[in-house]
Amino acid sequence: MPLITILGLDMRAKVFQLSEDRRVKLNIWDTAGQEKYRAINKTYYFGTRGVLICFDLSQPLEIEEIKSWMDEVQSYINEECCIVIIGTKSDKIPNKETVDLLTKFTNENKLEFIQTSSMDGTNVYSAFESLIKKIDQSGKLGIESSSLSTSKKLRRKKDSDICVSRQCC
Amino acid sequence: MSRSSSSFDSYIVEDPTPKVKLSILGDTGVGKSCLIKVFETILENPMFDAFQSLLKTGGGTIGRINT
Repeated sequence: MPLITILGLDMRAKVFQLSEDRRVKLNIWDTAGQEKYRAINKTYYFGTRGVLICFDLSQPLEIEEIKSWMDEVQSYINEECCIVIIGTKSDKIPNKETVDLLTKFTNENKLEFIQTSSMDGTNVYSAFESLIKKIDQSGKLGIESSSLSTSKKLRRKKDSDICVSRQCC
Repeated sequence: MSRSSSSFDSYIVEDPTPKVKLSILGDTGVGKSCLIKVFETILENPMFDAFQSLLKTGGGTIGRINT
């Protein structure tokens, strides 16, 4: 079976309904996991408000790996960036040491740890929702009411106005 | 020479919906792209539950096939 890997980065834009009258546009940057692309990824971290750091629950994990990703976030993104640790593939037989290590690490560092499964959809929505709510609570979202969103401000400029501003006529 | 008034009007649309940038990090093969794909699908269709079939037909949207 061919292996499909992300080369560099992939970006998706989605609108997320935070509550009945509040919504937010998400720019989700999917980074390449391979070590050789780390240098490229770093250049795209600018402006990131929230990070999901994913670990495979079914595979062995070292504490150095977790620290390495945490260092990457703190060095290249922002120390105040909201972080949620994600344990993926929870539908598989979990590696107990990995689960224990992630649980201990997140407890010690007061981080949220969510176990997800893309195979059955478990906690996938909750993981993103939790991260977005954390960003909102930290005041970095700058949510505006949907009344403003729906009634988009239209500013009408006449041709003559543009000419005056450009001082071309 | 006076410039005749133009019938052309331009509009500047300001969308005040806030934007937020999220980065998904992790080693290769942990399932970052699948996580995003499933999340996107749930956003588009909250009743969707055939995730297994989605992942089989999906995979990375951008990338190259390394055989």
